[in-house]
Formats: sequence, structure tokens, C-alpha cells
Amino acid sequence: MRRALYLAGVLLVLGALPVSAQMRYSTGAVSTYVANGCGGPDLPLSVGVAGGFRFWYNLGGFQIVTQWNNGDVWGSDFRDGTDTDPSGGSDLPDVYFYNGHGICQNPPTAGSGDFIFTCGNFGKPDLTTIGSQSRWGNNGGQLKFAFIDASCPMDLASIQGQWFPPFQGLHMAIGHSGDVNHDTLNSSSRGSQFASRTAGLPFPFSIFWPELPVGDAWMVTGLTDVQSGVCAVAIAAGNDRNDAINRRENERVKSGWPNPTPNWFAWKWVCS
Amino acid sequence: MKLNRWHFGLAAAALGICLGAPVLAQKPTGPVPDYSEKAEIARLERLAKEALHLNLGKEAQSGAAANFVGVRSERILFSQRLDSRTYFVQDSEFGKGKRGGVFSGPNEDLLLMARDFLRRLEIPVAEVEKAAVLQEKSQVAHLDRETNKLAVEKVEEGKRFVRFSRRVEGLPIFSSHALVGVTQDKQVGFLEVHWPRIPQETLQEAHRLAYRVQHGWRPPEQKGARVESIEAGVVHSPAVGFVMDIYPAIRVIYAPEEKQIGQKLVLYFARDGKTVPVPREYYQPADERKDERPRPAEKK
Repeated sequence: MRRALYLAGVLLVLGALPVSAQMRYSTGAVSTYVANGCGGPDLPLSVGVAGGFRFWYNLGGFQIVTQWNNGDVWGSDFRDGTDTDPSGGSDLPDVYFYNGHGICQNPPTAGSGDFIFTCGNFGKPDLTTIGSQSRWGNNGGQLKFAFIDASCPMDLASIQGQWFPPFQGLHMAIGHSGDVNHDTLNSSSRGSQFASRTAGLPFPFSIFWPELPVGDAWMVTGLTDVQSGVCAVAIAAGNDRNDAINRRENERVKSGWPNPTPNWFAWKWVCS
Repeated sequence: MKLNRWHFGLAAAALGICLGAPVLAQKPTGPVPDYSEKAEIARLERLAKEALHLNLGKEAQSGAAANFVGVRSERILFSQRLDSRTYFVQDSEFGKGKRGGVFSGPNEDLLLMARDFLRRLEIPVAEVEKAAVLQEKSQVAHLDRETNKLAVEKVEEGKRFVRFSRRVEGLPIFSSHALVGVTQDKQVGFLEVHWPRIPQETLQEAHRLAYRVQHGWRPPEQKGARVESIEAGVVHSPAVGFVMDIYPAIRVIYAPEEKQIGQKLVLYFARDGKTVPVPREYYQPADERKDERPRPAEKK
């Protein structure tokens, strides 16, 4: 059956969709490093791409919790114990999108760390070691999807030590694997295009481009603006083997599946 | 000669014929094109069936809004941007363990098939700069919470995609790409082609920028970084979006001076040395927050 579209479609394009209270999300983007006294360089596209992420998630009916930029994104937002701070912790919402610096090794090993590197005006230190300091979904935390668009925050060599412990209710996480010579580029569209494929937009948009499972969406958008040798990585936890694999392959942000008990982990990657 | 009303009438008729002749000559002789939404959708459905052999079934939902037209059945989605040579196909049954499966033949065959799909969509394959097969891989591990023992299974191979990059007249089109996955029956499993037409004026300016790069143009220094690469080309809006901006630009990649700090700075410059605007995805400006985050000690 063919269905024409009416004014509602135009209104949706203009962003007039009523916001659903179903799921909540936050963004944290750091463009300014040098001026705030941190190691550089600045990443001028980070704040903008977080705006793009919000555009698609707002259109998808998500409710925003916080949207901090630059110095207002704190290292403490990503560390267990302070990550439920009501002013902007990453464990407050269901979905958190981070864009900014990370730390790379040359090359990463099984014992290497994965990092989020902010340049905050509070909540120091700026450096968070994900494997030992981040725990999502515990102690009242809500985070189900951690989207870490930095560099080398999910190195394949160290994924077991760095990414199994943070899953404390978390469903899925995405990031990149690389090294100092094979790195992600600051991108105006990688994060926002990923958002457009995962936001689960209503009709008519749902017939224009596919809503993808989180893992698939990252496999097709995560290699945008990266150097050769960089891998887009997506990891899921599950109650059992099949559950972990099913989440890795099929879980969408809006699937509404319950929190897994992280007994099993399933991850996938594709490299440029 | 005495001019009477009859002479004036004759002159007016002759003038009318002379002026009217070109207009008459421009009148289309064939059938009048149908620009309706119905025709737009019918054209897309024809393209789906005839060019890509997609089986949309009988219960396909279709529509057009903003700059998109699309058709979607229970299994297949096929859509096109109306302001760009941009196509999307998704077979929801594409993948290992699914009904569509994945093509298991050699990479060479996969590359040929993917290139053929582009050709059928009238993408100029001469503009393909590089075609690479991307192999998805996966792994599973079990963590025994009681013994803290970890059992990691072997790496398995999943879907394969062919990723195409683009170069026109020797210039890289940084934002163009095509990504194609093929089912076990050699049908399109996933396709995303974003290959907008680049105006000749944009290419001309990109050539001029390339000339400048070859003749000593130096990018501005950035604190905390050193220049890693400089290349002139074209940058444009991404595949999913409601606006299509296209700019000629010099892309400069900067590597961090502190080697471990990752995510490299990238700037796109115009000929005046200023950065070009970021190609948009939508009309609305970003919703920037102006207030400062309250610190815990400052909370009331």
C-alpha cells in the first residue's frame, strides 16, 4: 500500500516532534584543550558533532538529560562513585555520547589501558582509565549504551581487561581500536551519522534510511574519517552466550531489553 | 501607399508568427514528464526491481518527504535522496545465520558484484579511487564470576563489505563513499552509496587549491600539533541529512605533539586561509548551551 506524506513529515523535519520520555540521553563533547591548559591539540569539530547527535536523538523522541561541552565535561563524569552526579554524570542517562580526546599506545598490549581524556574546569583529574575506574549500571546507574567516539578507547588487544569490568548493567558500548600511527580523525559527521542510524526515527524517516542495531550502525559509520588500520569495535554483555551474541547482532537502542547479567561478552569489529 | 486597417492586421499577424515561431518550436513533442510524487515513487520502485532486482513484495510502504523518497517492505528498504546521487538498501535478513545469509565466494567476485551494483545505479565507476573489502570479525568470551576464570573463544568471520572511495579529475572527494554487502544469493544485502554530483566550478576551485598546495601553500600552525598531511579536494554533507553543502577545500591533518594523545585535529581551508563551513546535515543550528555547569560546592 502506498502512503503519501503530509505536513506532519515537514514538521518532523523541522524538529517539531514531541519529545518522548521513553529514553534519556546525554552528550559530552570537548573541543577546547589548549586554551584550558590541557595537552592538545584542540578538536574544533567535537562540539558540533555532539550537536548533530542531539539533532537525531531529539528527532527520535529521546529526552535529553545533560549536554555539556568543553570545560563542563569532567573526568569525574566517567568514574565510578561520581558518575551519577546529577549535574552531568555519564551513568545518569540511558545513552551517553562522548566526543573528545583519548590516549593511544604504540602498540597497545593486553595490559594497556583505555582512556577518556577530558579538559574539565572541575572533577579532576581529566584522565579516566576505563578498565579500572569506569563502572556503568551499578549503584543506581542507568547507562545502557556507552558511545565513546574518541581515539583508541576500545583497543582489541586490551578489551578483556578494559571493557569487561565496566559492564554492571550496561548493555553495549562502541569505540575504536588503533595506535598512535593509526588514529581516528576529528570528524564533523561520524557521531551524528551513527546517531541517525540508531535513533529509531518515526515514519516517514523510517522508510528512508534503516534503523540499525547498535553494532551494525557502528560497523557502517565508525570508519568514517579514520586512518588506515583503525578498527570500529562494538561490545555487548549477556546473561549467557546466546544473549551476548544476540545483543551484539540485534540490539537496538530502542529495543527495550532488560539489563544483562554480564557473564558473557560478545564483540565484533571491522578495520579500515 | 495608403495604409488601411487590413495592412495593419497583416503586419501584426506576420509579427506574431515571427515572435511565436521560436515558442512553437520549443513545445515538447513527446509525452509530458510526470513530476508527481506518485511518479517519483513509481520510478524508485522500477529502479529497485529492474536495476537491483529487489523483491519488494506486495505490501510495500512508500513515501516522499523533505529530500527523500523511499519504499519499504517487511524485509527490504530502498530509498534515494532527491538532492544527491545517494541510495540506501537494507535487507533485514542479510547476515550470518539469517535467511539472506552472506556471500561466501572470493573477494574478487565480491568486488565485481559490488562494482556492478554501482554501475546499475548509474554511479560513474571511473570515479572509484579505491575498493577495499572490509571483513567483519567477532569473538565471544565467558567470565566465570566464582573462579574469575576467563574463557575466550576463537575469532570468527562475519559479514563482508566493499567500501569504495572516490576521486574526480584526480581530486579526492573526501566525503563520498559507497558501502556494499551481498547476500548468499548474490543480491544486495546492504548498500549505502553517497556519490553526489560535484559542480564543475567546485572542481575548478579544488584544482586551484591543489595548485597552491603544490606551490608552497602552508597551513596555519596549531598549538599542540604538527602538520601530518595536506591535500586539496572536495568535502560535502554526509549521506543522511536534509541539506547538501559542497565545498572545495584543502584538508590538513595535524598530529598531536604529545604522541599518545589521540584523535587527530583536521581542518578544511579555503583559498583565503580561513576554514570552510562544516557541511550541514540539517537546517537547524546546533543547540549550544551558554550557561556554565554548576559545581557541586556551588549548588543551592
